[in-house]
Amino acid sequence: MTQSRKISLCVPVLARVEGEGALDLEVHDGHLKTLRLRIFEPPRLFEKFLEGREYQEIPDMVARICGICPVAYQMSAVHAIEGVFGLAPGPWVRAMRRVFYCGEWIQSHSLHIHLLAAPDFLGYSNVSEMARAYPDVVRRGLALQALGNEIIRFFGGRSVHPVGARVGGFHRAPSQAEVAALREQVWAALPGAEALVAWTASLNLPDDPQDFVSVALRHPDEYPMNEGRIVSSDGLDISIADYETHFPEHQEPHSTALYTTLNRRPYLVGPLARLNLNLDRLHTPVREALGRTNIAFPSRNMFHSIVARAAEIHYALLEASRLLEDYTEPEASFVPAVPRSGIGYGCTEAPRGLLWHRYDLDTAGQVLHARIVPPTSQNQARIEADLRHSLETLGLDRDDETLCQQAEMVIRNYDPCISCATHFLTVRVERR
Amino acid sequence: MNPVRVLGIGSPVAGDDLGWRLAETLEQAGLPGYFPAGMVHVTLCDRPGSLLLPAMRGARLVILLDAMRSGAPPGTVRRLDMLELDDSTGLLSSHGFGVAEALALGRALEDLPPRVLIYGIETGQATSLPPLGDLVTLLWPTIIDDIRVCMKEPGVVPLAMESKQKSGGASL
Repeated sequence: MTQSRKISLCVPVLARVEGEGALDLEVHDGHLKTLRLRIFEPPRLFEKFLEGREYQEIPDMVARICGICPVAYQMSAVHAIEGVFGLAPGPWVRAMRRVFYCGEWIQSHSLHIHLLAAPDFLGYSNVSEMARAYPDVVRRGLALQALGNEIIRFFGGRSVHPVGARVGGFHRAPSQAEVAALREQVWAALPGAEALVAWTASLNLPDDPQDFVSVALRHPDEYPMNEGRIVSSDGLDISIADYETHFPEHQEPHSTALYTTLNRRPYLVGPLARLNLNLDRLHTPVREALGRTNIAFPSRNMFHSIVARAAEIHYALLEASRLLEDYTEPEASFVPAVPRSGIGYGCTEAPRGLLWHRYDLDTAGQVLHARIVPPTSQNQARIEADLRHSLETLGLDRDDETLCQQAEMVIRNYDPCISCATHFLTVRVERR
Repeated sequence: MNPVRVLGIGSPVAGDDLGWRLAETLEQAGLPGYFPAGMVHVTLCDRPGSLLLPAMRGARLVILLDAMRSGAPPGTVRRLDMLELDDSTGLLSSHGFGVAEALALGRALEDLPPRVLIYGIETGQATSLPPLGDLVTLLWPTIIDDIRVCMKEPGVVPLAMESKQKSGGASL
């Protein structure tokens, strides 16, 4: 006997997953036969748009790929282009780029924790419901998000699709007085961020250990953002230029986004992977705050991602404060570039994980070819593996609504940035 | 802090900038200058999401200009008080967390101005919209009235500003 059911769900919370997704489940005799997460990844279109463009245009163009993590796209691009030109922008630019990136982590993680993920763990369908019971938590989260946006605006001129970054540095250096005022705000937010680590760890998170490989950048001295080698929890340690050799992409018929694998297996990028691989690079107060929770890191529970995000907010505030201390205005906010031809690589840690760029430039610095691998593409196979595990653990005999809720929670936990176009997850369950 | 804020909601993406263009046109037509200095401020908000709340904080009246899709002919203007807003309103959002969600969150947190008015403009193909000038002509008297009503509330116009008005500072 064949029983086939189709369900279309309008899921307002998933709207805030930044895009569109469809999930097909096929269950035969109580076993999961097919599981396909179909997503659409707009950054692919940009690679063609970039061809023929001048190198100066690239930072502003790639910032348009994402409204939530434009800084990450800008940073991967400028590092790749500077790599081609042999340009070293110096310590001031390096430090301020890191602060710029801190702003993005703070705003993106705060948004995800409070507006997307926390309602799942507290039994609310959205943040407005949650806010009635936890007004102070939500207010704190919104204040952190606003501060993150303020840091992005500080360097980028505006918080959405910022325009302040350029190859060689920034278009403008902030004054000492401006920096002092920003640092006051950062300093004032620290107690709240530390409390957020404890709060996220106190949530009733599902206990669901899984076997997965973490992949992240690793830097000799610091928690990774703009620089480092690509490492994995199973021993990989490569230069960013060797990424393509180890992380092949392939097409699946059901998705316009390419899948990326490592040793033919799914892998995880993002805050939990970063934290798992870089615990010893955190500032001491963050390690201590994590130590006061009952969670042991490295963790194999994907739901600990929310705690990792909180820890990274705490870290980013401490790091921004450190880097802005004793600030002096530079003589120039950028180093002039002299174009030359070649291939350059940029790999930075976007809020959602590794963001890898490659640019082939001609002698005038025009783009001949571009390749961009966003974190959500890399996590796509991992999300499917997690869905398979989680739904089977939950029990495939559960009703469709329960299966859908679980699937949505699992997907949301990765904070996928799919596209910004539509508002629905369509789940089709076919039972035989 | 401007007691009246006119916020154009949207993004630079083609078709999602209607709220911006209307706000810009209202500003260029002299809306802030029609009232005493500092009373009315026009801002363009790029997909503000939850950041709509700080953008409105401290105001007595907020007028939101946003694209809407409810099946009405393109160019149809719908004026709503925030209290009337529900899921079926049809306000567009290029991200999931749009104006309706931000207002619901603000209501839950008791973090909203006393009055929020939403001017939803039915959108469609760019070519099927009436000229912006026609839309502004349509909106102008209603928005002026909205602001006048707000200004009559106690404490909205500072005393110094009131005496300036009486001496002929700005036309009302």
